[in-house]
Amino acid sequence: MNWIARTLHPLWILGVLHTTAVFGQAETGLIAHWRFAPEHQLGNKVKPLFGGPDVTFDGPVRFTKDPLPPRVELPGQNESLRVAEDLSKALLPVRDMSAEAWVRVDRPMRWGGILTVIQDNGEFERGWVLGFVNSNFSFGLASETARKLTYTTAAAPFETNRWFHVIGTYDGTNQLLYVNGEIAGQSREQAGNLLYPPKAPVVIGAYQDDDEHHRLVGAIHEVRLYRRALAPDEIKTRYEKRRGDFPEPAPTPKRLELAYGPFVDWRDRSSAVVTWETDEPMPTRLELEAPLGAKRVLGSGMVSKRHEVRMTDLRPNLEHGYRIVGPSTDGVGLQSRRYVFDSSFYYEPVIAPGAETARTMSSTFEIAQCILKQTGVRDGYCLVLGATDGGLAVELVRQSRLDVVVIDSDATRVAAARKTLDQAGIYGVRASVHLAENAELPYGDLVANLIVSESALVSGAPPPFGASEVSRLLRPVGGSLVMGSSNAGARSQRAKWVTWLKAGKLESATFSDRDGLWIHLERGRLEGAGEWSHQYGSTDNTSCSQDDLVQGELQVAWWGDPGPRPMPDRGNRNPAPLSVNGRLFVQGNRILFGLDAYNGAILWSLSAPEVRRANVTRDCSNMAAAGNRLYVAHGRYCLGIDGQTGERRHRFEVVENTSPGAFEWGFVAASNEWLIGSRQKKDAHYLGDDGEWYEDYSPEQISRVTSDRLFSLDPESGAVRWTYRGGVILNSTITIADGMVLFLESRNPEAMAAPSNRLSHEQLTDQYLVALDLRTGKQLWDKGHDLSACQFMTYLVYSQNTAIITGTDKDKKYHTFAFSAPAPNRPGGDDLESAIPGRLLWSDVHKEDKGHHSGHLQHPLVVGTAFYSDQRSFDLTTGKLLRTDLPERRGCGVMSAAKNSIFFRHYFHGMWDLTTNKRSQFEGIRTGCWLGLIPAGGMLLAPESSAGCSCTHAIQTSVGYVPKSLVKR
Amino acid sequence: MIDPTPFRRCLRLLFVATSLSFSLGASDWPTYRGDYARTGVTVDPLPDKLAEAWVWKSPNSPQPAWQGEAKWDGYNKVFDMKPRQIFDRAFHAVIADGHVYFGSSADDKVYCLDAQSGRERWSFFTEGPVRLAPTIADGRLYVGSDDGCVYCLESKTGVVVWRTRATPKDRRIPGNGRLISNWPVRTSIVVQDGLAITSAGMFPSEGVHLIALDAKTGKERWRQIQTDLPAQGYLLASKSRLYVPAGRNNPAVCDIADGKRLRVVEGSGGTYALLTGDMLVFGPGKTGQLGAVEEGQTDQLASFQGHHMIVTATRSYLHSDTELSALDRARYLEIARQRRTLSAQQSAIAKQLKKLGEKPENEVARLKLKAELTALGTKIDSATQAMETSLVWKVPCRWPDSLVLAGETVVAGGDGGVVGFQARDGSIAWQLPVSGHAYGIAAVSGSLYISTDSGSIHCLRAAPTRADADKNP
Repeated sequence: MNWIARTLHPLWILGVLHTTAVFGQAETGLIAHWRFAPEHQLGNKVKPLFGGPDVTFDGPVRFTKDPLPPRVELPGQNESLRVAEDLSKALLPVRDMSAEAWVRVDRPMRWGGILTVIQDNGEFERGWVLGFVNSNFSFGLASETARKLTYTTAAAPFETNRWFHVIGTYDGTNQLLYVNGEIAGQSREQAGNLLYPPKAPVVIGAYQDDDEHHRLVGAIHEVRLYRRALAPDEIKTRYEKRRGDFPEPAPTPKRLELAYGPFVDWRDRSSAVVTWETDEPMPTRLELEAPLGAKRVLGSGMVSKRHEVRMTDLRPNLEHGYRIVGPSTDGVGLQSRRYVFDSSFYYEPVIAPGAETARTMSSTFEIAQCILKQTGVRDGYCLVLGATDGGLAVELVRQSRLDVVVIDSDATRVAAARKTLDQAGIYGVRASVHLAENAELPYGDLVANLIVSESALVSGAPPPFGASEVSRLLRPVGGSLVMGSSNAGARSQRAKWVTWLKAGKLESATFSDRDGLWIHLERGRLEGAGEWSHQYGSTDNTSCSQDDLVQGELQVAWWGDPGPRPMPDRGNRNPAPLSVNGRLFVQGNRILFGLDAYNGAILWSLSAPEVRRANVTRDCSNMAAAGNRLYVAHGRYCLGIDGQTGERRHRFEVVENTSPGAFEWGFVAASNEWLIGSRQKKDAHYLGDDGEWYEDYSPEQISRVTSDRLFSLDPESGAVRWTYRGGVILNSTITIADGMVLFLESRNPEAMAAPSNRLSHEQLTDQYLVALDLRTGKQLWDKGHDLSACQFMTYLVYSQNTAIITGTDKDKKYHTFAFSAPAPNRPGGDDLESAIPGRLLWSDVHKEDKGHHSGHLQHPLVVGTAFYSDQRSFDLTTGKLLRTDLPERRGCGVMSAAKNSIFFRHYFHGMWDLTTNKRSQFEGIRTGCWLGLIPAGGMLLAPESSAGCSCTHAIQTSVGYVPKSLVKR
Repeated sequence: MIDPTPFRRCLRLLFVATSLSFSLGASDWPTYRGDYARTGVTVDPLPDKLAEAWVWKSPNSPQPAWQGEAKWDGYNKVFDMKPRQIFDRAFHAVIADGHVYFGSSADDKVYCLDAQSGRERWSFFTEGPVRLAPTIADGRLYVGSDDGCVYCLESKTGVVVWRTRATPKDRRIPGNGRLISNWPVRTSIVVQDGLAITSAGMFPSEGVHLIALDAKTGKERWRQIQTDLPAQGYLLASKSRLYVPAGRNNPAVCDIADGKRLRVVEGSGGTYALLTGDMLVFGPGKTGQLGAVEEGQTDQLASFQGHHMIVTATRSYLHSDTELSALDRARYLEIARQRRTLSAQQSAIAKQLKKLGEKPENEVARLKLKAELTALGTKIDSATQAMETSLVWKVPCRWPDSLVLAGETVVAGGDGGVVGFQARDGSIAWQLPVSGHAYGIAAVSGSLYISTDSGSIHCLRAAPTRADADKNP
C-alpha cells in the first residue's frame, strides 16, 4: 500500500494543480472550496482553497493522506467541523445553489449530514442539507414558497467504506441529487428563494440543528459550495475527472454470524470477559475500540468453537465498541456486527478490603460463614440487631454481596461499630450503623434478606428489639433470621428465646443446640401474592397476576437502579418485566437485570447485545420466568438463567435447526414442567433501533412476526416432547392455559412459503384458531374465522373456557371475537353451546375510545369474569357490555391488573382501584409505552421504562410500591 | 473571621458586580458556589502560577444518586441527552475561617479539614449519604443527609448543636442502593434571617416537605408539602424568594417567608441554577441549554446553549461541552427583552387569527393580521441575529464539568484537569492536572479547592517561589 501511496502522491499534486486551474478561482459562482488535506490544516482551522470562511474543527478528527486521498477522518464521536456558528456569518446562496462533496460514509444513520445549514424543529423547517438518510444519499431544502423541507433521496443505497461524489443542486424550481455524476433523485416541490432559519450553524460532516446533532462516521476529501446550479454534463465531467483519484475500498469483510453470544461478564471494575461461539472451529479475536477511537485486538486466536477474551483497562462510565473478527480468506476479512459495551453499567458491590486475602479463621469469620451457608443468602440487605464492635458486619460484608446495617440503642456501641467498619474501609458503601431512637425499628417492612444479632453472639439472649418488629422486616420468599450464640451458656437462654419468638408470632422458628443455641427462621410467600411470569401476566395472556394483595393506597417500598441510561427508548413497545419468586427481571437495551423484588437490590446484570426485541405488539416477548429460572430467547437458543445469580446454566436449541443460523427461537413460555418454544426464520424480530413508534398503519410497523414450528421441551433435559408443524403461527396470539396451547395460524400457502417470518396482515389470510394438547402437542380442534379486520394487531387471551381475539382495523375500530375453548378435561356441561370448541360466543365492534397515545393498540385484560378492552368491559362469556365509564388513560402504555386493581400510565404511574372505582397516580414518574407496571408478590413493581422521554418528569428510576394495608411501616 | 452568611456575601458580590468596584475581597466560600445565588464568583484574584498544595482522598469514590439520562430520545431523535441531575458527583467543598468542609455520599460523614495543610480536623457520622455541600453561617455548619435529618454542628469542633428529623415519621427504605429515609434531604440548607431552610422527600406521592427550622434551635417554623414535584439540588435564595430545584423538572419559586409556592418556571428541567439579580438561570434541559426567567415570570426570557454560566455586571460567561464564551450581558438582555415582547405580540396576533376562523367575511381582517405576523416574524429574526453581536469572545474549552470566576480568571474543570482562562480575552493562563472529573470548584483567597468524581479534593494555591524554596530546603 505504501508504494502505491508514494507512487500516487505526485499525481495528487498534479490533480490539485489541475483542479485549481480548471475549477479554481475562475469557476463561476463558486462561494467556497475546502479540501481537507493535512497541508490546509492550521491549528484548529482548515483554510479554504477558495472563498471562505475557515472551517473550525474540534474533537478527535484526523487529517491524513496516507493512504490517499487526502481527507479528514471523522469518528462520529464529539467532533465538529464548523463553517460558521451561525448562517449570518456565512455567505450562503440565495436561490440557485450547488453543494458538492467527495465523501466516504462508514456507517449509515437515520439522518446524516455532509454539508448542512438547517433547522428542523417540529413544524419549523428551514435551510438545506446535503447528506444521507439511512443508507441513501439525499438532498433536502426548504424554499420560501413551500416553507418546509423536502428531500430527494437516491433510490440505491450507498456502499459503506467507498468514496462517492455527491452533489445537490437547486435552481429555484428543480431540486436534484447527483451521485457519481448521475442524477439519483429529483423533486419539483420547492420554488423560489431558499428559506433559511433565523439561526443555524453551517457545518460539515454532521446533521446539526438546535435539537439534533448526528455526526458522520467516515471521511471527507473536499466540499464546494456554489451560488448556481451546476449542469448535469458539467457534473458528470467533474466526476469523471476525479474518480480515478479515489481508490476502491478494501473488500468489505464478510459478516461473521456468531452461533452463540457474545456475552460480557464483569470481572472487576476495569475488566470483563467476553464469550462467544462459532459454528465451526476457527481462530477469532476481539477488536476493542477504546472510547476515543484507539483499537486493540485481543485474544489468542486459538482455533476453537468456543472463544473467551478478557477486556482489560476498561475506562469507567464510557461506551466501548467491539466486534469479533475471524480469519481472512482470499483477502476478505470476517467480522461480526459491531457491539457496544457501556462500562457505566457496573452494579457490583464495593469489595471490602481484605475480602480476597487470607484471614485468620476467627470465630466471627466462622459464624458469618456458617450463617451465610445455612441460609443461602448472599445478596440484598442484612440487618444486625444489637452491636458489640461491628465485627460480625465486617465478616458478613467480606463473605457476601450484602449491604449490612447495624442498629443499636447504645451510643457507645454504635460509635465502636462505626469505627470498626470505617477502619475496614467499608463504611457507607457496604455497611453502616444506626442509633435506635426507640424500641421500634425505623425500617420499612419486607426489606431484609437476612437478620442476625451481634449482641446475641455474646449474651446468648434475644436482641433488644421485639420479635414482632423483626418479623415484619423479613423479606418474603426466603428472607432468613439466624440468631444465637456458640457460647457455653447459650443453651440456658432457650426460654427467653421462646418467649421472644412467641411475642412475634414466630413460633415456626427452629432451634439448634448442636453448637450453643441457634434460632433459624425462613419467611415463606405472602399468602394471596401473585406472579407475573410472562409478557401478559401468565401464559393465558390475561394481563392479570391474580395478586390479591396489591390494592388500596400504595407507598414507595424501594427505588433505585436500573435508571434510564441502560434502558431502550420508551416507545419501542418493549418486553415487559417479569416477577416470580420474589425476584424482578428487567430487560434493558441489550442488558438483562435480576433484582430483588422486595428491596430493589440488583442481584446481577448481563450484557447480552444480541438479546433485544421490540414491537411486541406484533410479536411476543423473549422472556419467561418459572421457579428459580429466567428463560431468554437468544438467537437459535433459549437460555435458562439462574434467577438469583444470573449464571447461564442451561441452553436449549430451537427444534429442526437444519441449517446453522437459519432459524431463531421465537416464542418462549415456561413452567417447572415444560418449556414451549417456537421456530422462525432469522431476522424476523423488530429491534427498535431507529426510534420507531410502531403506532402508525404501515407495513414496516404492523407486520406480524410469525413462527413455523411450535414445540415443547423438557426444561431439565432439553428433550423434545412434541413439535407442531402447521400454518404460520402469529406469535402475538400464542396462549397456554388449562392444558391447551391456543394460537392463530394462517394457512395461506403464500405466507407459509414466504422467505421471511415477518408478514403483513394481507399475507396472513385463511386464519384458524387452533388448540393443541399441551402434553402431547396433538391438535384438539381448530376453527377458521374471518379475522381480516384485525389489521393493526391481533391478540388472543384465554380465561374460563373462552378464547378472545382482539384487533383494530385501519380506521381504529376494535373488533373482538370470543370463542368457546373448553378445557380438555372440563367436567360435565357438554350439552352447553360453550362446550363446543371454536364456537363463536360473541363479538363486538366499536371505535376506539381514547383516540391518541396507542388508544387503538390496547391489549385486553381479564379480571374475574370481566373482559376489559380499550375503555370498556364486557362479560367474559356473554359479551354483555358491563361498563364504558372506565377512567381515561392518557399515556401510551397498556393496562395490567391484579385481582382488585388495574394499573396503567395516565400522566404518571396510574392505578384504578376496582373496589372504589377511583383513579390515582404517582406524580412525577411515568412508565414506558407498553407494559411496565406489574403487580406481583404483593408489590406493584415499576422498573424504569420511561427512558428516552425528553419530558420533564421529575424522577426516572425503578420503583417498588407496597400496599399500606400490607405493612406496618 | 467567618463571613456572616452566604446571603450577605451574595449581596456584597452583587454590590461589587453592579458598582463595578472590585476592591472588596470575599475571604470565605461558605456555601455551594459561594453564595445563595450560586454565582460561583469571588473577587479574590488568583496568583499567576498555581501548584497543588495538598490533596485529600476518600477511600471510596462519591456514590451519586443518579446514573444519568437515557442515551437517546428515539421518538424525537434527540441524541446525547444531558444528565439533568448533577449535584452529587463530587464532594463539593465550602470554606470558612481557614477550614474546608464537605459531606460524603460514600461514608455518610461530614468532614472538616485544615485549609492550610489538608489535615482532618474532625468528622461526623450522619446515618445516610450526604449528597450536598454543607452551609457555614455564624460559626455553625448546617447539613442534610439521606437519613432524613438536618444537622447543625459547631463548625470548629463538629459537636452537634441540634439535629431535627425533617419529616414527622422515620421510615427508612432502600433508595438508590442504601437504606435511607423515605424523605431524604436532597437540597442544601439556606440559612437566612434566623431560619435554616431545606426540604426532604423524593416522591411527590409521599409528600415532599419544604421546611424552615429555627437556625439556633432546630425547631420548626414553617412547613409546606409539595405533592407534584420532588426537591433535589441546591436551593437558591434572594431576600424574598426561595428557588427549589426539582430534579429533572423545572424549579419552583416560593415565598421565603412561609415557603408558599408562587409558581413553577418554564423550561426543560435540571438542577443547575443560578440567580443573577432578579433573574433565574437554570438547566441543562435535555440538550444542554440554560434558560433565563425573570422575576414574576414563568416563561423564559432567553436560552443559551451551554450548561454553566457566570454573570458579572457587564459580562456573562457561558460554558458548553466544547466552548467557553463571553457575552456583553447588557446588550444581550436588552435584545432578548425586545425579542420576548415581539414574541408575545406574535402569539397574541396568532390567537386573534385563530379566533377569526375561516369565515369569508373575515378575510380582510385575516389578511391584516397575517401581514402583521409576517412583519413581526422578520423583526424577531433580526433580533435573534442581533443577539449574536453581543458575543465578546469565544474559545474552545474541553473542560465542561464546572466553572467559577476568581478575580479576572475564569476557571473551568474537566476530565483530569482544571484550566484558568483570562477573563479579558479567553486565553489560557494555566492548566493543572487533577484526578478524575473536576465537578466542583471553590475559590477563596487565591486558593482553589477542586472536588472530583474520584473522591479527591485538591487544594491549588500559589506555586512556591524560589525564595520560598530557599526558606524550606
